Amino acid sequence: MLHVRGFAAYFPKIGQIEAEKVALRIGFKGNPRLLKNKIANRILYSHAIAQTQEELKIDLAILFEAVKLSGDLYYKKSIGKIFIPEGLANNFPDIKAVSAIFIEALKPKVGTEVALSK
Amino acid sequence: MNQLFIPKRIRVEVDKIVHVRRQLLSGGCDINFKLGQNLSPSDVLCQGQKTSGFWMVHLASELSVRVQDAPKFLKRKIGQTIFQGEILAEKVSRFGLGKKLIFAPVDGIIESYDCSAGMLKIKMSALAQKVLSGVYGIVDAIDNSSNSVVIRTQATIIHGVLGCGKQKCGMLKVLKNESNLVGSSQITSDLRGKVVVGGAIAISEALKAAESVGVAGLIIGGIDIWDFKAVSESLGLTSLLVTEGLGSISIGRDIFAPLSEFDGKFVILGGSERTLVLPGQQPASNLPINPNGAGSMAEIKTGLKVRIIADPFYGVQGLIEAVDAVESLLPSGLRSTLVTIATERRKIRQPYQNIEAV
Repeated sequence: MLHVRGFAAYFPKIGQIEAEKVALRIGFKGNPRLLKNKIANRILYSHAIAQTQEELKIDLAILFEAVKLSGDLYYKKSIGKIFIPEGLANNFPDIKAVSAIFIEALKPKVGTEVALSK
Repeated sequence: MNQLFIPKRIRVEVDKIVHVRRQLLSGGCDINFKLGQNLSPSDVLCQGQKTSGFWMVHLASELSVRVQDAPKFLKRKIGQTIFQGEILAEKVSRFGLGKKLIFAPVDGIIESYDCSAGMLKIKMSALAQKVLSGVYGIVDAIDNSSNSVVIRTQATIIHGVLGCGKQKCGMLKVLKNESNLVGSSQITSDLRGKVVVGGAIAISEALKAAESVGVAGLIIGGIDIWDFKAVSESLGLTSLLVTEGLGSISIGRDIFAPLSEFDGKFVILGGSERTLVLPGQQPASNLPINPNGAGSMAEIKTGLKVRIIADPFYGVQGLIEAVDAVESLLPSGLRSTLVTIATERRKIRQPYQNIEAV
């Protein structure tokens, strides 16, 4: 059965993201009300892709906040590994940038490995 | 070129056979139907009486007197019956230069007066109530656990993107057009008990006004995310159906057209189910049951009706005119196959991931 999985599907607590934190991260200067709705629509249709660098910047900021909220799903401290879902590549062209987001959000111990997971 | 697929969102289902659930009166009522019975909209399913609780009148403050003096101005004694609009209390000013009248706000019995707070308590009279079928259909089940009846009927179903609140029934009222911005001034008392089609967005004040007026349901294209969170957490009286998404977005033509046709007719809004049932207007003596077997994906091809789900054309609908044979590199760095969509006003090129079939 075909189905589409957006990046929001990997983060069950993504609905709890605070728009103010996203705004701060991207240095957003516009109407915060518009940004809040934009973030909510991105979560609602997270399989849609960013067309511009500005949109990608917002998606990465949402990803950062989402990883912070649901980090325990992907950071296995006991084995010292961070697993990054492979499907995120559909939304983010640079998997290194995604890895950097996970590391910054999860603040792992030195020596933690980062791996892609199905 | 490989076959490409996009999600298919069912927005309107015309003439579907569905089960609708009608809530019966709680606390005992006379049931007027039986299993398998054919119903028409005006058929009374059950009737009974409902006690409506109490009404408090701040008598001392309304009369501008001390709390211990207020009972002297009552025109009826404690324990007596009074009807809405009758004089409840009267205070004549000094030298007879003027008088202040307080009218009974409801039918009921004057139960007590609280000397410490200055509040008069009126026990409201029991109201005769009846539940109408509202739809043509057949009684398929009686659910004693939830005190409801399940009716099989033919209906057009509208599916929203977001929704909240209990199932509400009422007459549909279309306020203006699909891109209307709903302000509090548009929510008038005559909308009480109705399911209102607002427009592109309802501002916070309008949502509060809908609650206080007693609007049964509100259908809008978009809503600000913080308003949606507030409404869904408040478990208020007004159920909500959002057809497009977050922010100000006009209700799609595909949804607004059937809503306009049903203006003034009985509808059933399931807030938490994100559906609006527009019951058929023709008697149906023997309705079959169709399983809801709609697919969830659609193959991209020219002529397919789609809706854009990404900024800056969020909510715009059109027909696919062309599909690129090769992928393009987007400014974001992602690669995607672009499709050309012919809308009413212009042609728009979008990555195929940013559209859904409707």
